[in-house]
Amino acid sequence: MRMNMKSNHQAVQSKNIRMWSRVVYDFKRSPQAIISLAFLIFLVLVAVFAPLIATNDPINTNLSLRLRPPFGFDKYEPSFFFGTDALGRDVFSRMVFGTRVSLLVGFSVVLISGTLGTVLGLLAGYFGGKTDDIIMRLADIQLAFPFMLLMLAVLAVIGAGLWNLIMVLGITNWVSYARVVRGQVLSIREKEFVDAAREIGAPHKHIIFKHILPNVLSSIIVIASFSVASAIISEATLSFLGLGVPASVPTWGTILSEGRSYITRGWWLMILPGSAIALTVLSINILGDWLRDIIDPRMQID
Amino acid sequence: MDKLLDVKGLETQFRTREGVVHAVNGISFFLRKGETLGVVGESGCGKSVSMMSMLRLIPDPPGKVVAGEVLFCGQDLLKISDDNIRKIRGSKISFVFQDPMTSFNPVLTIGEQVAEPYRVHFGASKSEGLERAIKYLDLVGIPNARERVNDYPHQFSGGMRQRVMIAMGLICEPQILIADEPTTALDVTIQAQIVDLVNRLQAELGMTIIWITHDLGIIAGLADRVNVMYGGFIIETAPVKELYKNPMHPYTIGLLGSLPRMNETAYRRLTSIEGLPPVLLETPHYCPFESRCQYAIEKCRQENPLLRAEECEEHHVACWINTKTRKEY
Repeated sequence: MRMNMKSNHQAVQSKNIRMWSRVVYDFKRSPQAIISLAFLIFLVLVAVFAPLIATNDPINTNLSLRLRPPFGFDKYEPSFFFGTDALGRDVFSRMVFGTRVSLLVGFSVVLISGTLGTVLGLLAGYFGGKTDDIIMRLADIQLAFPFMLLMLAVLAVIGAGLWNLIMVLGITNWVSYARVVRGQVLSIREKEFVDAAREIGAPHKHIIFKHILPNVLSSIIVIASFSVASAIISEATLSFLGLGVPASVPTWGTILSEGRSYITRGWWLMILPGSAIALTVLSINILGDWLRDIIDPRMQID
Repeated sequence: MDKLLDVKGLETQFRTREGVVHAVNGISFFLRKGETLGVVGESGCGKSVSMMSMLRLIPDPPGKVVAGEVLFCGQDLLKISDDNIRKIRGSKISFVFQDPMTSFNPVLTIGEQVAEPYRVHFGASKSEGLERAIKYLDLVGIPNARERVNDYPHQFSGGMRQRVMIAMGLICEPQILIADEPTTALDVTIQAQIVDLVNRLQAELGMTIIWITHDLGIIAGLADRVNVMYGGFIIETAPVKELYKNPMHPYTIGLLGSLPRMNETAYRRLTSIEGLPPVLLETPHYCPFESRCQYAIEKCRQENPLLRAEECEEHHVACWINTKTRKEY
């Protein structure tokens, strides 16, 4: 018995070691994935150590220093690396602090909406019939509703605030996941291995999560990586309308939307936070793409 | 010997746009403990559908088991709860699937999939399941099973996958193993290996097997008794030797005539049965084979013959004509 247990342990362990060594091996040979991961780790560090990195107080205004350009341009004010905005606040420090809310919103919204949408899409596609009708008609109703109006109505009722904003964005974004997942499940549930699972007496829960979910995971990763960007932007829009975080809390989105009116005089107000969002999304995308390839055993070369 | 499984009057229908298709029309048969029952017949004669009906695996709609009893361990499988039938599938009665290329989930390892029935039914942990999977993969002759459990289905060849399927069917040590044309996707050398393997395993584990096929050659080497199916009916049933020596039904005679024999010396053309099997949109009140039968008489068009004992006690046939004497019974 004891012997047996030991060898079990070894079999499982060797599988994990093999998997991890493959992941590491593949990762080392993929420069894009390394850079992307490094950038995301860098962002997380920036968010955590924001007070140490920021060179100025991000909410302190100074009208005598308004609309100063970033480092290397005419009329650059020392220590204001990324220039200043229309109220003379330091863009660099605002972006450093903005990383916190933007990353938090981006990732939590994707986590909530991805989980919700995937589960509902799996149920709709797998069971079909009435379940499918109810879930997909709900999705249609939500799509028919203007997004902004829905947000405004819900946030006006439950009140503004960061966590309410995350909840609302998370719950309303499920449709895109549900539709794609459902579509894929419709084709996968007709595969013979699903019949086979049923014939060995596997319960529905097991078939859905063990057999079907791994087969749709790659699509989910792709949608999720794009949704991070739209969540960051949506947060800015809603904050701009006074329904997200208070105006005193800097986020990439708010810097971007406030800078819009000054695009002719202060290009950096849009370019810098815009680039931050774009780079984040690009990194997540590249990493997601790499992850999709690595988790699909058919893409492996022995 | 006592009957392990007793099927009485099983009837399955499919509702389609064209009408109700009568796929299985009140078949009755039984299974003794430890024997191998062969089920033969051409495509669409109701072989697979009758097996699926027994375990309530027919998708409803469009299909429906409309009548019958399937007695197993003192309970009627058609009447027990969904949860109870699920517990029997894969643990007490298990399947070996037809197509080893598509019946595996491409993103899960072989070990995970072979262990699955065991883990589902006995709640075993991942490592216990894997250990048992290795044992059964060894048993069906997968070399290096301990290492191969971590491989994915696409890394196995067709014959290997079929062995893996059998390991998966065996892992819960079922009382009945239903093999649904498990060798049709394989070439003959591998077929022969699989047949040997199953014979050996049956001797070792004392299983009862139902082997569905349209290949009479395989049945000859494997089965104890044979059911011949046609148009959703069992039209002849007999011990395997008796059936090959003394086929009674015109359809069985036709099937055996279409088979080349190793010991034949004289030149002979293989016979074929003209026509196609009927699509049964109504319960036939005539013999379903009548339109293709060279012995057909008026009575065949008016009444459907039922299975009756002929020749010896175990040999039943559903025909109005004694094909030996060409006389009506």
